[in-house]
Amino acid sequence: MTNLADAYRKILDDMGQPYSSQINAGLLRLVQALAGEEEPGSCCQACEESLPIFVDDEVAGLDVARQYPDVKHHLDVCPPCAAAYVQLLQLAWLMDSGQIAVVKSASPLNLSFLPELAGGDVCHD
Amino acid sequence: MAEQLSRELCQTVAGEVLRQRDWRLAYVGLGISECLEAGFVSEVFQEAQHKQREASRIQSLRQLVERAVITCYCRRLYQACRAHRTLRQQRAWQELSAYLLAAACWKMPDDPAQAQECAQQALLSLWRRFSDPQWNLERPGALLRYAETALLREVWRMWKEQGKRWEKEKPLEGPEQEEQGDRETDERLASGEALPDAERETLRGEADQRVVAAIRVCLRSERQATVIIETFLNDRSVLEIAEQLGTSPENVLVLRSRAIQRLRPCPELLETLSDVLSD
Repeated sequence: MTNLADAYRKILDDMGQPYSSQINAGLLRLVQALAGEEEPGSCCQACEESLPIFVDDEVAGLDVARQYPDVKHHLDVCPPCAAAYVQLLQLAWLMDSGQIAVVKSASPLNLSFLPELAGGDVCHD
Repeated sequence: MAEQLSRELCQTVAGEVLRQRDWRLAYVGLGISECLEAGFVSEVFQEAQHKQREASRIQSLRQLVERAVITCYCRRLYQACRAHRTLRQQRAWQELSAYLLAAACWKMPDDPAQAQECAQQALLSLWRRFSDPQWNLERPGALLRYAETALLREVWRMWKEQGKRWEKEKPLEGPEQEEQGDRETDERLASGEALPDAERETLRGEADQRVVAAIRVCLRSERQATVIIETFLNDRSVLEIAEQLGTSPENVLVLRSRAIQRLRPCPELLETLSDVLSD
């Protein structure tokens, strides 16, 4: 397996940069995925920070590959980030479509961290 | 006759979405009356028009308006979350906590106590950020995505502490389902449905065609081949591919991972890529 991954790494190394504009950049990402090349940790962090907006636009039907190419392309080659993305995407999709009901819970969360109401306010709820 | 985007439709859908979730911040007097704020409906209408212009993926008009309602409501929710020491702030955090709890209970159906703990921690992490007056959310309309992200972080942290591999938690598409999926995909191809057109539309030049041919030689599964071609050569997102194949986004990822494992030792693809990229 290592030798095969190395063979794909060699393709990337041999190509050098800059790449020809005639080449579909997706082919390079495919080779990168086959080589199992990890991107720098900073790429994962940037991707993680962008995921809420990326997913929000994706469920809204926008062309996220065109709007956020860096995020999309990182997700193509980084399995851990892709796994996190899919979990968020699935949750967002179900919540937005109302398939997970938001109901009043018998044991709601503790909101004691909230500051007290300013004087004069009356709680209507 | 097809439904048209209108203020009336926005008002109807907004009422349904808000009632279903018990969201009251867009009602006059926080829901004491049943009267939606007029400004809210106008905002939803504008947002729906914007989404209609920008959307590249086909969805129903109702879905589009529902998402516009959620986006507009998130903006109010965010403002209210930061409206210090007011009734609106209290209401906003109650709604956010109910949302997080529902999501957590779905994510951890077998353990309500842990779900509650994760939701509580996510809520606190949001509070810590929101209460900093120097900090602003990049896009308030996506507030619920930030909340879900905070929740998932807590769930993963808890699973990690318990030594649970969260990537493997959900049942994945097994070989039998994959074969069944392949049969369905083949039927759709035979009947002239979307797949070949989508490919023809975007694949560029001879190099791409050679790589596609090599991928098909190396992968026996049509679904795996489609996932690889659409992801890398046609630059489509996971959700688009999931809709195209009629499967879940999670399964698209499984298919992709299996395809990469099968493609890696395949000499035909190595040779073709080496050839194409060294030209």
